[in-house]
Amino acid sequence: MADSSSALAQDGRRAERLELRVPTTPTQLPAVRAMAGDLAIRMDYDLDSVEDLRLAVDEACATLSAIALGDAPLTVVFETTRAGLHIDAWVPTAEGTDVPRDGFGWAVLQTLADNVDGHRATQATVPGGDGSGAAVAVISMDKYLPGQRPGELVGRAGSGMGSDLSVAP
Amino acid sequence: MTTVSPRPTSDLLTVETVPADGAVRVVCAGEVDCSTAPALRRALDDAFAGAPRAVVVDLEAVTFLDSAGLSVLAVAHRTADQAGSPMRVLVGTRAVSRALQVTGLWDLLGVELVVPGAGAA
Repeated sequence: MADSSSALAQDGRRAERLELRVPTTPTQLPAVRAMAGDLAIRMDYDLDSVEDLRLAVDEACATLSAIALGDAPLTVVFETTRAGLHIDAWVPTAEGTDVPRDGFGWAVLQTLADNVDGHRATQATVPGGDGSGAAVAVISMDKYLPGQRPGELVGRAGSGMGSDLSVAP
Repeated sequence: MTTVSPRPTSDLLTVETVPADGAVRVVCAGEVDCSTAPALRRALDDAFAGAPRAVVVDLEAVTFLDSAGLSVLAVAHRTADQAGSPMRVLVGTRAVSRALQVTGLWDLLGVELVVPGAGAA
């Protein structure tokens, strides 16, 4: 799974899932980071963390947009939990395309997110994929709410918010 | 005061270059990201090319700044050192101050925080 390394994704606290699918043109990135900022504001993130999330999502999406195959869209899946936000962003790529991890943008991303990982995967293993074996590149990240870092987790997400939101076309 | 906008910029970011008293003020408004950072870079290149007394990068009305924009500022800082034209960076929003702080550029650039409503620095 694309998010198998994520403690946040494994803790069973998924309360709400929101999927965004946009063209990989740079002009679409403002919409994606606005979504990230809005989600963060509605959760209990402090103001600096809200900015961190906007920036982290922007860096991930900009990195992926640069390696997307043709005009294939960018998919960003936000999962809000009691512990925080887990975000998977992915684009279809040419076979064998790696997520670039040597640039300044990646360094910024690592500074901003609590966990971040970039790797190759397939459509069958990413959230919102078409189930095929076609190549994709994924960036997954976690941002914990204050006091919700691993080891501090208590209880379960008892909310009944089971319905997924989707604004994908 | 003359406002010179030598090249069109996108709707997401406006960049205006204002010469004043031998110095140049580059006034930005909007969001600096991978699509708009090149416009900021061109404006700063042009500003330093004129060997001004100083360059003021006014980011007070900038509401987003990512690694592409941070890179432009870091390069401009080096240009300023080499050209002997001091560069000041003015910031007015949390988004921009946070990006500069987490990357360590805040101290390197000697960023000045502009208090809202206090007028131009």
